Amino acid sequence: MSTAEVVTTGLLLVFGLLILITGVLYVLPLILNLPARLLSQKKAKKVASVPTLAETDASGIPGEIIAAIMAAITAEEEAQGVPYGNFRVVSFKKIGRKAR
Amino acid sequence: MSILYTLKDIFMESGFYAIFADFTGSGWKVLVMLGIACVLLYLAIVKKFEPLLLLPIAFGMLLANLPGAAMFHEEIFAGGHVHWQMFAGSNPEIVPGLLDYLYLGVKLGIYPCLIFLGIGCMTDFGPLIANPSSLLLGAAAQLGIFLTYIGAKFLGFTSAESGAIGIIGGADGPTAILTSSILAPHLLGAIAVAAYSYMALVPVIQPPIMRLLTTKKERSIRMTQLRTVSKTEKIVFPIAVTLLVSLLLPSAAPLVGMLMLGNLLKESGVCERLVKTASDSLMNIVVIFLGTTVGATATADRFLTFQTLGIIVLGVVAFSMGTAGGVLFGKLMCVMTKGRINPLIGAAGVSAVPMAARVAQKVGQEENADNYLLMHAMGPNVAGVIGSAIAAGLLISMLG
Repeated sequence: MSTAEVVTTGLLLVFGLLILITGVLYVLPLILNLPARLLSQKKAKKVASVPTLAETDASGIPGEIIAAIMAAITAEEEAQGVPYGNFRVVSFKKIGRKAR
Repeated sequence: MSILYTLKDIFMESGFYAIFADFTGSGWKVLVMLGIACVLLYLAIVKKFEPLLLLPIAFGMLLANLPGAAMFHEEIFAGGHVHWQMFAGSNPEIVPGLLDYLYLGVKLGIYPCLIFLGIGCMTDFGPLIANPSSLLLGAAAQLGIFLTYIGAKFLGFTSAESGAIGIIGGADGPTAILTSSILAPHLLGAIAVAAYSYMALVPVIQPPIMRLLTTKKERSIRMTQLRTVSKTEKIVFPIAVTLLVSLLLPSAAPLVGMLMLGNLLKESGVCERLVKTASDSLMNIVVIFLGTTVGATATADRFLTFQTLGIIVLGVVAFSMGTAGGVLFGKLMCVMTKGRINPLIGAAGVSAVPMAARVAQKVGQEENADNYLLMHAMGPNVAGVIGSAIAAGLLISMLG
């Protein structure tokens, strides 16, 4: 082999092999984390399928009560191991009691 | 009177007589080689130049150049092959000595692979896995190998000799020894001495080149913290690299395979006893045998030639070109990542682990004392070990 052939082939193959290994290293975390990501996606879908409160008129309810209810829902979800914080309160409706 | 004759016979068999009886012929060469061996011992012991290998190499050189000691016989390994019949006593004038038997480990490529096993047990590939682009810096630093190949051809060395000399640029002792024992065994002593001496001089050779090729602003770049690498990744990495490299380039399998075996033993966490042995006792035994026998090949006839001078000059060229290649590629990556990569870590692509990484850290801290580049530089540093093993496999495959 001529000098040019040795140098060109050598450099191309060294770079080529190391680029290949670089690619494998970039893909590796994605492959290894795939089961965990699929699992979290499934849980997110379950949370999304829980119906949100129907939109009704919520005027007149103090903000502290709304905050307390949200905290209670979050605590319950955390206890059940569901990723919490995936809900949004749209409105509240009072039922079962006459207004004072 | 018979006592006098006996004393005279004993004196005539001594090394002193052998040196001075033919002083103008081979005697002065023996004295020069013994002097060189003593200088190398001084560098190893007092200046602490890679003492673990340079001391056994120097002492092996001393033993092999003692007239009449017959500890090493070049004839058994003449022509690059092992003349096995001589071990069986086919030539009554040549009685194989201790170093002849121990040298078989070098000739058959056993010792460098066992050293790589130990190196694998001691290496953490975490910084490399966290920043895979470090592999490209490791590749760029191997430019020194191929540019030195060109230089050696220009000086009149054969292709195989040039390949063996070029591998000095990989800054990897076991790789250099394996490659030269296959491609140019008659140059093994000179190449080993050059490789280990220059590896010890990395803190002297690299910084001026790094400062010359980078700006103050580039040297001050602080890199973001590396991500955490999981244990699973660290276990899969050596298996994947072994499969990939060995299937594509089988000649690199011995070195890369043993390196990854050692690393897998360590990262698996279930073979602590093996890791302890491979990285400690086994490595120390092999280093003693390897160093002493490699030094023993540096006999006067082989070492005191213009070729040795050429190897010494080309060795510093190899290291310099490797450093420059890594730094220049680091600058390219700095531009492509819009300043997120400090080019200094490219210099660590020469596989003098961890010396080259420490040099990158030191030069970086000259500009900014709060800049900690060591872990970032370890990525290219260990990538260089893989890169030089691949380059060695390629050279052996193309030129062997």
